[in-house]
Amino acid sequence: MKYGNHQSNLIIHPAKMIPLLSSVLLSGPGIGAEICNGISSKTIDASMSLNAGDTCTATQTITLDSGVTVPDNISLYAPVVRFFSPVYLQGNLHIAQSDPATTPSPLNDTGITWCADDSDNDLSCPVTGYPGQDAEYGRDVTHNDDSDGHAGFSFTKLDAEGNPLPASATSWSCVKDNVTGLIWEVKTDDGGLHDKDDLYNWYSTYPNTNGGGMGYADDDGAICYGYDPNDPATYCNTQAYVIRVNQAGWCGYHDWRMPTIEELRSLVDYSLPSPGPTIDTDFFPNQVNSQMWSSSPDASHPLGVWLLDFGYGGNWAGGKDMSQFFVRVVRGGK
Amino acid sequence: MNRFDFRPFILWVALFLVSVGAARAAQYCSSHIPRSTPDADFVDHGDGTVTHKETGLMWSKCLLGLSGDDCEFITDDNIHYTWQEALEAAEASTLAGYNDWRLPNIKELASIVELACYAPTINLTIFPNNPTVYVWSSSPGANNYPRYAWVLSFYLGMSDMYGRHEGNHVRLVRGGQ
Repeated sequence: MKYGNHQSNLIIHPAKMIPLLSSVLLSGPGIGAEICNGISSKTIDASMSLNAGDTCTATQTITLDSGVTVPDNISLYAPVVRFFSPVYLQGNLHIAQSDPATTPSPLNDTGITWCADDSDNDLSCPVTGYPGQDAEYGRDVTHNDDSDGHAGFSFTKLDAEGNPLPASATSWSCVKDNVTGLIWEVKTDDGGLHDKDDLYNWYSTYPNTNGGGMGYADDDGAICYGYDPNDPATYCNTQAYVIRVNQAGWCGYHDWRMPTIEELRSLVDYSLPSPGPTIDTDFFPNQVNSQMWSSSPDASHPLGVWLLDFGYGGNWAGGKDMSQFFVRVVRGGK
Repeated sequence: MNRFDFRPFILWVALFLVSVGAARAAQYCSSHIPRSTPDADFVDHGDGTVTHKETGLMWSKCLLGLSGDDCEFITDDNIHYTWQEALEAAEASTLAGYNDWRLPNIKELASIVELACYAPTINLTIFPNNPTVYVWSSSPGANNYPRYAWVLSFYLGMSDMYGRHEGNHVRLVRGGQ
């Protein structure tokens, strides 16, 4: 298994313990790597022992000798692993997931609080002959409280350091979804790195997750903040954006990633009509009513990736072939 | 007057078509996409129901109108339902002795999409003989689509809206928050 290319990021889900259950052989020319967990970092040395509490910075580099064999039964907490050169792993790297039986991931409700018949909406529930509709079940019934997001949604605003703010706060940088546990980037309208209008190509160098096609690294255009044609780190693609956000940090976290299509869908408020945006803009301002990239490739085509269209709430597959769409990164979850 | 009953014949033709369809439409799964609904995430209760441990939702193993361990038997010669018929059929179902079956909302329905596969985009071990068809959700379209409701295509995994009078398939769900 080959992990990584120049300046690439291997994002392992945060808060997931990664016991190395069997030997892993790391080899490759001049391996450099850093492992960060956002707040503190662990340093890899030749024996892969970890020193808790080391501060991780974007420039910290750990050099591994070629052919280092990692002993058994070492546990890592490492959401972000960045390899600066190709790394070859032999053997099995077991990523232990928490038992799903004990930790279900609740789904967000849809936001729909009215019933319908064949031709009309906004009817009181129940409607005779149309039993058991969306609006009669779920958090939109049991937790219908608009103070923390429309109907069953429950959001908490976070400041630039990740501290919770009251819902009345007028300035915030991230939002925690209290149902799904995910923490979301809030877009800005300041022309900076997080600006809502910035466009990206879809790009991923990870063959296990990129659907069989990497996409485009460079659109040859200044479609995002700080684009420099001479600096690949500033190219306007999704992978470079995630690395830039993690290097700079946002809301105190360095383990941001692209959301899956289901994670994007979790934010959709289906009660809102097109042209949208179909999201609670009290918590997610600067949301374009347009398509946003997910991390989820379309299985039917190596150039396809799922998009969530916040203009009406549906999802469809867009092309990695230099298509330009918007991005909102996420962290946390399972 | 003694009329010839076409119903068994139609049933056998339909069964043949479903079988041929299943054989012809070979599912493709990509090795470059992580599985979103691996077998281990489900408990098959052996009574036509499965529980998705990720969400806690219980699902009918077969689409409404199909039955059997591999959903190979057709128990209803019309497995297309309008949105109203789908809501009523879910309400009336007593599958596995439960009387609280309902249609899934669109987020619940999308939670069993297998993102690594298509044609169909579902785990066929857990949900066998799933034709690549549109399945109804309980979620009506918003106010500029008052004659539509959300469906999910289990061919590619696209969500879309369909006219409430049109016929689509039904998978039952129960439980959840």
